[in-house]
Amino acid sequence: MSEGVTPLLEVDGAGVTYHGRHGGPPVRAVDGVDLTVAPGEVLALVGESGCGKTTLARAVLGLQPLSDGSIRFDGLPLPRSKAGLRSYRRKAQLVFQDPTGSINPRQSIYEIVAEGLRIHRERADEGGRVAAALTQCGLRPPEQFVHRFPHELSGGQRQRVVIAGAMVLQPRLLVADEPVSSLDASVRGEILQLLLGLSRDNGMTVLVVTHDLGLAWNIADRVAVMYLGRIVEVGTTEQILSMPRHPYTRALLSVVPEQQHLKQQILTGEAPDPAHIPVGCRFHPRCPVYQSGDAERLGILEACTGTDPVLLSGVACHAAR
Amino acid sequence: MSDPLLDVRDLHVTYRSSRGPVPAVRGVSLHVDRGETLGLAGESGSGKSSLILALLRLAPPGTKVTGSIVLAGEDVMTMRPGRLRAVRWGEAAVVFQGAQHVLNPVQRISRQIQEAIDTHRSSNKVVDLLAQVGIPRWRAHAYPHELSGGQKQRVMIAMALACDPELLIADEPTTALDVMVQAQVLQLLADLQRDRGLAMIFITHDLSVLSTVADRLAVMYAGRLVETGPAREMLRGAKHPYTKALAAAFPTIGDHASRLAPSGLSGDPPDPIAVPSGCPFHPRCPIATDECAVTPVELASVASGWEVACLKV
Repeated sequence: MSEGVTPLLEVDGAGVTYHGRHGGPPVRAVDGVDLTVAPGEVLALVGESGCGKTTLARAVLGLQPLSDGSIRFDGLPLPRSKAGLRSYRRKAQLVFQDPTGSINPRQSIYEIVAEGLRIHRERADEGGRVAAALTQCGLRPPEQFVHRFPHELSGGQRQRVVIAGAMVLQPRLLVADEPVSSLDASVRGEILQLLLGLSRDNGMTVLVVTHDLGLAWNIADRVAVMYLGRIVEVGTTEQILSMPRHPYTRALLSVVPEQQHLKQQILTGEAPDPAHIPVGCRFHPRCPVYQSGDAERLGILEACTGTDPVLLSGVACHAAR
Repeated sequence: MSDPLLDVRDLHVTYRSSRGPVPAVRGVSLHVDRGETLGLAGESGSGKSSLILALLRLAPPGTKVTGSIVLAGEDVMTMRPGRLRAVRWGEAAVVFQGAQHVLNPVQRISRQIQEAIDTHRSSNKVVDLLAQVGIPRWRAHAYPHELSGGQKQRVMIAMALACDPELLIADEPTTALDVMVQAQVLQLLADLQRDRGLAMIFITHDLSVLSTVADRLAVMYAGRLVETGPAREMLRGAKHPYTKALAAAFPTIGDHASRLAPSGLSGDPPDPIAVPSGCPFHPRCPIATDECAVTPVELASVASGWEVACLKV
């Protein structure tokens, strides 16, 4: 992000704690996240399942109250009142993962796309705005689609309908949670082109939540890597995907098929448990730098097991200092 | 050279539906040698799953299957039901996608694996099978919900190995998994193949995954093979425009041509009831000309062991 631009979204020390089940310890799904997103930027939030990326996205949309920290949108804190949140959600819209599961099969395409307008009681020129959103999302000419039903469309077209339903309110921010993971390979590129085009041509800000680093390479300006509720590395896509500094980012990249420059480093062990966040650096029990003895040679062994590293110049790792 | 483990010739699979016959597989010939991995790629609706079901005669009743399927020297098409049951686990076993939906949620995994062993009178032990797929002994009595997605997929692989098959058919085994877990499962399959000399058919729509596991590739479109050849060479220099598009869909990170330039195909996979004339790919093909719409295409050799069905190649 360039200096001097007011961020559209500022996440500051955000935390989300869920109660533990059956009297278990509380679960820190999001544990102190700092993140900014500039207007018009595409930011990819990447990490494994259970790292808290979807919880963070829900918090950004005002669907999940924060336990601590704050989120500011366009300079103002997220509203807490029901009416305030309702008007906020006009400006920040969600694109769901699976288009088949997220739209009502008995509604026509017109009704699906117009639903947002109806919820927000925007009655002026409904037909025109639905047609404009469909056109914008590549369903042209719109009159060919408005009377059809979801089952008459292909998977890619259905995902376009879902995006049109979000775009019809002309939001400032789109949050897309795994927007192409349920789509076929040949359709995937088209949907990514659409998201990239919305950002480039309409100045849309996009927060895309994914575990797919290839998607980030295809469309993101910046990448934030999340591990166990915390951002461990953030930077431009080129920096993060070509010169990763955090050992977790390096491991994630090394297992992407067909990448050439990193030796494959498969992390062992269970997926991390947000109810039991390790003391010190949260990644150290799975960290190749720690396990290989490099941490000891670097003289940072105590730091790794004792001090929680903060995000400094884009990376939270004692070895990267 | 010895006979291939699996030899399929001119296979057709036609489903019955209220809209009339649906030809899902329209004349596919392929083979798998012992100890070899064949990557079978294509989108949903391309016929790859129908092909697999037909191989073990698992297609729903009423489905018309023609052609020849020879597995380890035996003709699968004419096999008696008793022999077929033995072959299904003993010689060829399938790992289906979505392990969470295949395992019985109210039975311990040890019992589910034991059931496969008992039914087929195998001498394998549950703990040995679990050890081979990297699940510790103390997890053997867990219920499926106590396991992670990757562990459940490992349990599915352990069940498939219960009767020491020669051929393992893996249908999108890593699709629902995280990148790190996907890498772990791919590593496991590669190790098993090396240690046991397993032959494998690995089905996916993600060509990049196949680069790490497959020896040869076969790409399906609209019920037919459009390209088949050596995996590494094909991934580097695909000849058929459809294979090229599939390969480009998952970008190589660090490749500047794909940076901020996602690549996809316009249009949608064809409806199997109304497959386009000529080359079925021509409506979506970036290099198609008028003759592609009328001239039928057949696989033709372009190099040793490498065949392409395209008029423009």
